[in-house]
Amino acid sequence: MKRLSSFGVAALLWLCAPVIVFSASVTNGDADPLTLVITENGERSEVVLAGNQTQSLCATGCFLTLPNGDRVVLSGGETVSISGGRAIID
Amino acid sequence: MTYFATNRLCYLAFMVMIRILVGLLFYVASLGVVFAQSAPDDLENDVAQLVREVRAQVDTFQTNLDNEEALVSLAADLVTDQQEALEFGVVLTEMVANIRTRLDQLGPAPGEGEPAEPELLAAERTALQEERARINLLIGELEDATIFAGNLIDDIAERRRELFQETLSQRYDISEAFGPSLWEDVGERWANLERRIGSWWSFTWRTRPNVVLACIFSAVLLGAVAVFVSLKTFGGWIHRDSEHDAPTFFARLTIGFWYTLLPTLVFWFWLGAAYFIFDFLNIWRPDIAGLVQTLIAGLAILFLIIQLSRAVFAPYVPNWRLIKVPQRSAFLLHALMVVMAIIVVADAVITRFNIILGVSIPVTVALSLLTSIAVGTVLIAMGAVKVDIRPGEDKRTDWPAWLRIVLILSGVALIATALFGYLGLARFASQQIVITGAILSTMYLGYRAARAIGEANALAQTSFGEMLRARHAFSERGVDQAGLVASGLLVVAVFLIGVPIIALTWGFRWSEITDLGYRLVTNITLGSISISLIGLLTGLILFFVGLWGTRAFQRWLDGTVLERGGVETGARTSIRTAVGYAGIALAALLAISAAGFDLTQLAFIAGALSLGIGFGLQNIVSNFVSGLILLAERPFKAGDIIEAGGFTGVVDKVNVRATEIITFDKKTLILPNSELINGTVINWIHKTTLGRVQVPVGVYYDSDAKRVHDMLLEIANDHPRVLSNPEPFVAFDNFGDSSLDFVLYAYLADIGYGLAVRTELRMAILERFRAANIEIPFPQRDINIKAAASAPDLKDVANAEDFGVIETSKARRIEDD
Repeated sequence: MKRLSSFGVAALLWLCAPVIVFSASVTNGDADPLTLVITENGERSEVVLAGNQTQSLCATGCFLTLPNGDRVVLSGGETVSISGGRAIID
Repeated sequence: MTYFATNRLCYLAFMVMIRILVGLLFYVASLGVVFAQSAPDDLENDVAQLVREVRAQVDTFQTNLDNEEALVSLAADLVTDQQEALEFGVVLTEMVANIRTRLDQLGPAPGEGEPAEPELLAAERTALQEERARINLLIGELEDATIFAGNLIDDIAERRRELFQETLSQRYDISEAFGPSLWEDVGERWANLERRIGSWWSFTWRTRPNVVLACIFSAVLLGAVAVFVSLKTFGGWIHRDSEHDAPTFFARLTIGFWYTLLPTLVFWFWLGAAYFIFDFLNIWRPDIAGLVQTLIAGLAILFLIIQLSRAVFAPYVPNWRLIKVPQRSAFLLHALMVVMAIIVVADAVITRFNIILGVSIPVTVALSLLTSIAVGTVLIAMGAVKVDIRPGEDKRTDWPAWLRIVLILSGVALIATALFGYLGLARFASQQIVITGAILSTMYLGYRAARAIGEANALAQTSFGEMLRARHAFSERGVDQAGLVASGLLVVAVFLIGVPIIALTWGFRWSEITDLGYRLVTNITLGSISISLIGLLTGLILFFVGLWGTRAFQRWLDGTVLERGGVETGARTSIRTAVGYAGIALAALLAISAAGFDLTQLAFIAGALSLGIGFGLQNIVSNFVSGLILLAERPFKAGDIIEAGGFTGVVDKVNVRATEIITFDKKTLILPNSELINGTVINWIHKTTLGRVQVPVGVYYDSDAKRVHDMLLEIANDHPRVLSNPEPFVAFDNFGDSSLDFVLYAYLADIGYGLAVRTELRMAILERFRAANIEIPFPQRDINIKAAASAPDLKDVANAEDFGVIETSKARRIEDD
């Protein structure tokens, strides 16, 4: 019974895992505000991050255009820190 | 005619499948990174193809403007394309990161005037930069493709809304639909069906009679085996004994669940297996296979609904009925439920057949009309089923009047809509009523189950509860509380599952629901404050983890470090309490910041309120600070005997606001800490437990004072608890009224024994003075006795047993004597 229930929990988690998505957290490491262009679910929008601010973005994955023109794609769940126009993704 | 509701259910199932597949793809994609990097050209081709595919979908959209089903699947395709684009993008991002690392390793290009770098290095830098630009371009194309797909999805949704509106608002001429063309069409289709089946059957039978016979035989045999095996294995298990007195709701629900599920699964298994036997031996012709599949799906759903209805209404075993209705009503409701299931399934099957045999508008119109009227009639009939509660029976029922009114009204509205010619609307409404009704009833059963678990001792009586108690050492109360928690969680789960499904059947998109859910748990905005449920939950969990950690740290510090370090009990208590306060404060701060509250804002609020709080909570704050001072300064500690506020007692513990003192007659005295700080406190055993006892004693005037003095000293020295240093001494205190008064002073190592030692000393004094003929006098008085006129007659006083038990008052009055 115990094994059965733990199996059930595992199965449930496995089923839910793709549905439960965690957003990516993006941090602006500079003191100046940062403007990011984000395309999520086929809709483009601009997000302004104040200096040293961290924000949760991209629940379902998104395209991110950095100020230096580099493009970054997030699948959600990453931790991104941007400083000097460069992004470091963990 | 479109099938919104069924389509939406399909859409839901499809989307869930996609989610699962996408989840798997993410894992696979992360594994595939290495492979993808080794072949960037392939990746580029893949990306280009995906982008082309997405752009080409607009043509599919244009050609299928009126085809609801095609639009739904196109939208689902586009969502998959978007996901795929994201996955490609993730891989490309990784590549850009690698390129940048290599560029960093190369360093910046030499500026003007600096010595030129080797040609090889410059070439590699240029190549890397080109590669980076190329990949950025690819990601840009992918991004554009997702935007394109997103716009197309919106267009599709808009078009579907239009189609839906058209269907709902279109009015059909019923009399025209029932004209001669209807009968012609029906006749044609019937002939078509007969011809198809006839030609297929005669051909198959003529060419392969043995195979057909073998198939039929094996299908029948398989059915018999399935019935036999299921009866043998779980037949007894799901049997509902009509003799059983009163099974609990939970027991009824469990049996009902298995009663529905197991036979249905066996039946489905048999249907599937029989179909595949025929399929395997190539008996079906493609068009016949389509017809048979439709028929099998219809039978499968019909069986499920009938079995479910039998489980819920239990027309033959009233004690196992899941909802509370009388026998006759249950029987009628079950019958109507079966009729409803037959109507709905027949409608779906005929519609499907119609598509296979060739769509005919008059047939569709007539079918819609008949179905809507039939569903409406059954709804009215269900509403008309009365629940006669005989006098003396339980008044509560699961078939309340309002539900019956709703059923009747919706039935009437359905029939009226159909008769006025709004067949699209009527059909849509009837499907929604049936599907939503089914989901709501299931939710209701789930809700009832949750309530049943939550009832007192409901869980403890189940085998699961017994297992919890036996294996996991749960107390009965613990199991009961677990039941309550499980009940609450189940209610939440019922709503979390049921409400989105209903929303889906009513045309909401899966992404809208998940977005809303996501926003609900992460970001609820009230004015300028935004609250995140996940954040709040995290904060709460963090707080309890912090609390638990503090407790564990306290235990470790107190039990291991301080005890071994030989720190005395009082100091240990103080340190433990202080650590506890610090831990709780830390956990609270952590929790508040994790919950997303801005601490600076809190500080601002605290600053604004501090004046008011300062006045309002003056006493409490003063007591709290006093408590901290008591812990730091330790004028007394737990276990000390103190006198304060006119009371004497043993300090039990020092709390935030007050100190608990147990007086010697075991009353608990709760003294505000500020009084202990401001007032005078006598601590009997501060720093040391050394104390002095005094025993005054008087002897007859004739006694030898010197001898008495020596004897008293001797007694004191003979007592094992009396210290010899400081040594005891005897004071000749006074020439009293009737005696020479001596006082014996003796020091004890622990004044806690004072009372006992005094008693023992007095005993010894009495004993030895008697032996030495030293008399202890008592004051003498002259008493004049007056002879009374007549003494009261005491003879009538009854014997003790005649009084019996003393009557006590019921009123509780406590008075300090």
